[in-house]
Amino acid sequence: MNYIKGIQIVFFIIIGLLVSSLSFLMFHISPLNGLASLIDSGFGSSIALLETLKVTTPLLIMAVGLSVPFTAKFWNIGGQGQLIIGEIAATATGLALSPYLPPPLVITASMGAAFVGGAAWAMPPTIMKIKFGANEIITTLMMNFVAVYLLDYLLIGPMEGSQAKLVHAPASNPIPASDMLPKLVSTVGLSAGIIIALALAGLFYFILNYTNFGYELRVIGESRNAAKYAGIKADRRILESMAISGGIAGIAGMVLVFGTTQILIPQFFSDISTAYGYVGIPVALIASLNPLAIIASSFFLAGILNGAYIMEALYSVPIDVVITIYGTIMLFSMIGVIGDVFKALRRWIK
Amino acid sequence: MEPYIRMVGITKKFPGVVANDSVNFEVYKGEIHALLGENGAGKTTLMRVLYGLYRPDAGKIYVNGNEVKIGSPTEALRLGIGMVHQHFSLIPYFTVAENVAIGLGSWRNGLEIEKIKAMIKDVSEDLGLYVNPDAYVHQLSVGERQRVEIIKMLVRGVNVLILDEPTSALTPQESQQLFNVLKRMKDGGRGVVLITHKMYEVMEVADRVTVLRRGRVVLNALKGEISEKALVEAMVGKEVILGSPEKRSVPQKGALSVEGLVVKGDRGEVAVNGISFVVRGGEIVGIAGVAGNGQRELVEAIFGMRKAVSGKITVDGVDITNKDIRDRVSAGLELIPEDRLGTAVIPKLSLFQNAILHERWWDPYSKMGVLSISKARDLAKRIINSFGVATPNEQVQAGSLSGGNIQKFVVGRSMARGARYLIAVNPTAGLDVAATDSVRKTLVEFRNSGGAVLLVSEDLDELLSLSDRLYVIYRGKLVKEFLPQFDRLAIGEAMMGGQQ
Repeated sequence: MNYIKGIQIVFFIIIGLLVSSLSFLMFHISPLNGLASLIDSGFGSSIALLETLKVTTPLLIMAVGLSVPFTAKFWNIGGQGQLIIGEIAATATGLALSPYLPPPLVITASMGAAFVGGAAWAMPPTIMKIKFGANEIITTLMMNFVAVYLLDYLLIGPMEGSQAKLVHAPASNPIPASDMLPKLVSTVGLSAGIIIALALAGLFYFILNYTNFGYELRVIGESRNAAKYAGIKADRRILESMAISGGIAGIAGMVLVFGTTQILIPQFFSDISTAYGYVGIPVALIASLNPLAIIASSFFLAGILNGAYIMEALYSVPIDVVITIYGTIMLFSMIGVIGDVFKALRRWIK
Repeated sequence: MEPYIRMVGITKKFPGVVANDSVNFEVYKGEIHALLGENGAGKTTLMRVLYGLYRPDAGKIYVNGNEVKIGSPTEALRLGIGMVHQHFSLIPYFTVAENVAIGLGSWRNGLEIEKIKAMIKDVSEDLGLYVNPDAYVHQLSVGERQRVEIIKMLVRGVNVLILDEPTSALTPQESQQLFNVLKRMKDGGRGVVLITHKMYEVMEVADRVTVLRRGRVVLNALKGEISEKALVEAMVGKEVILGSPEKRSVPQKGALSVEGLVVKGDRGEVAVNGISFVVRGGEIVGIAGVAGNGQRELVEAIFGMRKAVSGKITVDGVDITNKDIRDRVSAGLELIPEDRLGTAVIPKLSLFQNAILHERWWDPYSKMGVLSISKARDLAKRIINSFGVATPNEQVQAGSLSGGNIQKFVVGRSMARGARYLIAVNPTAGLDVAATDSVRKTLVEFRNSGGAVLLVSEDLDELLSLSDRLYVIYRGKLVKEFLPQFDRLAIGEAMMGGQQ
C-alpha cells in the first residue's frame, strides 16, 4: 500500500519535472537540456552534492519538525517565523556567552535557546486555536510577518553589528569562528548540522511510529471523536506537538547561523533560498510525513534549489523560472500524495 | 375528496436496507397529516422521495391527479411541495429578507428587497409567523429561524408543506406557536405533513395519521377513528417477545452505579436531568427511548467523554465521576460506541493499531511510552480469532472491513482486557442478521459470565429480547422501570411521553 503510494509520488514528481522544464523554452534552451543541466548542477558532481547537502540541512530539520503537528492535522505554517526567532535566540545567546564559555557549551546553550525561542513563538497561535478556535493556518502564518519585522528591528537596533553600522547593511556581529558548528567538509563548508538533521529524522521516525505520543497524534489527526473515545487529551498533545515543531524550526535557524551564515541578516519574503519554513511544508507532505522519507524529499528539493542557483549563474536563467519549476513539481507531486490515482484510472478505464 | 398528492407503492432501497417498502401515502389540502414511526422507520426517506431528493426504486407519485416524476427539490417546489428539514439551511450573516431572496433567485428575476419584504409580510401576517425581515439570522432563536424556513417555502407558493420533526429543537411554547401556525395554514387550504415520533403532537394537531414501521405502512386512519393506544401499538409492534435467549444469571456483587447525574448537551441545554440507576454484574439493563432524549449525553458522561455537571458515577464503589478514560478502563468499564467508523475505530489505521486504542497505556502494549507493535499484532490476532472477524490479516485498514466485522472487532476489543462493565449503544444498528446474532450472543455470554451490560438501544425488539431490566428515558429522565415480562405497549407509551 505505502509502496504503491511511493511509486505514485515519484511518478508525479517526474511528470512535474518534465512539464515544468517547458519553461526553459522562454530562454531558448531546449527543455530536456535545461532539465539535464538543472539536475547536473544539483546532483552531478561531488561539489554539487555537498552543496546540496548544505541546503538539505535546514530543510530537513524544518520538515521533520513540521511533520509532528501535521500528523495531528494541525497545520503549522509558521515554521519560518519560528526559524527566525530560533536564529535570533541562538545568535544572541552565542554572542553573549562566547567570551565566557568553551565552544561546546556555547553551541549547546545556543541550540537550547533556539529551541525555546521557536517553541515559544509557536505557542500564541496554538493557544488561540485551543481556547478560541482561531484558524491556525492564518495565525501561524501571521506570526511569520511579526518575526520578520522583529528581526529587522533588532538588526538596526539592539543587535546591530559594529561592521554593519559602517556599511549601512543591517546584520548582527558574527559568531566567533571557534563557536561555529564543526565543519565536516571544509572546502564547501558543510557543517555537522547535517548530522543533527539526520539524527532528528531518525528520532522522530521512531517517535511518530513507535510511541504512544506519535500514536495519539495520528488518532487526533484521523478523528477527533475517536481521540475522545481513546481518552486522548487532544489539546495538550497539540500544544506539545507545536512546542516541538516550533522548537525544531528554531534549531533549523540555529544550524543555519552556526553552520553557514555566521551572521544574522534580514529575511526577504521573496527569497525562496531562505524560506525554509515555507519550502519545508511540501517537503514534509511529499514524504507523507514520514521522517525517513523526508530525508529523501528534502535532499531532492535542495538539489533542485541548489541547481537553480548554479543555472542562474551559468545560463542567466532567472531564479524566478526555477521557482516556477519548483512550484510545478510541488503541484504534480501533491497529486501523487493526495490522489488515489490507481483507483481513478480504474474508474476511467471502466 | 381527491387527495392533492398520492404516492402509490413507493419502494426505496439503500444498500442492505429497504427504507420504504410499497408505501402508499396521501396528502389532502386543508389537512394536517402526521407521519409517525420510530427512528429508522422510513418517514424521512418517504418525504425526501416526495421532495425530489431521492428517486424511488418503484412506485408512482400523482399531484392533482396527474402522474409526475420529481427529480429535484426545484421540481417539487414547482409542483407546490415544500419541505422544512431538521437542520436549517440559512445564511447566518444575511437578514431574513435576504435569506428569502436567495430562495427566490431574486438576482435573476430582478426582485428588490422591498418587494421581498412585502411578500414576507403578505404570507406571514395572517398565519401569525412573526419575524422581523431586517433581523440577521444569527440573532434569531431556533424557533424564529424555523419560521424563516417556513416563510421561504410559503413565498414560493407551496400548497403542501412537509416538516421533518419540527419541534425537536423547540421549547414547549415555541412548539405551541408552531402548531397554531400549522392550524392556520390548514384552515387556509394548504396541506401539511408532520413527521414526528411524539404522540402528543399527533393528538394535538393531526387530522390524519399514517404509521410506518420498518418501511411499511402499518396504519392509516383519521385521528378521530383511532385511540392513542392503538397508535403506540402500531408503532412498536405487538410480536410476543420470549425473553432472553439464554438462562438468566443471578446478579452478582459489584456494580456500575449512577446517582443524580446531570449532563449538558452540545448546545448547553440540560440533556441528562438527574438520572440514577445501578447495573450489577450478571445483568443486562436496557435503556429504551426515542433518539435525542439524552442517551448520547448519558453514555458519554459515564464513559468520561463528556463532563458531568453534577452527580456521581461509581464502579465497584470507586468514584470515577471526574476520572480520565484511562482510569475508567482500568476500573473495568468499556464502551461500544454507536458511531462505528468515526469513533469506535479509525478507518485508516490498521486493525492492530486500532486494537490498542484502550490498551496502549499498559504493559505489554507499551513500556515507558514506547509501543510494542508485535504485542499489538498478537492482540489483534487474538480478537480476530476469538470473535470470528473476517479479515485477510491484522494489518489491513479497519475501514476496509464490512460493518459487521468491524463491530465484531469492536465488541471483541472491548472484552479483551477483561472489562466487567460494558456500555453498548445501538450495538447491532445496520448489521445483517448473522452479525447481529453474533454480537447479541457475545453480550449475553458476557453477562452470563458475570459481566454487567448497560444496553442503550433504539431497537425495542433488541432491548426486549436481551434486557433483564429496562428503563425508559424521556427528556433526560428515566421515567419508568420495567421488569419481565415486558409490557411492550406500556414501554412504547412511556417512550412517547405518555402516562406521566
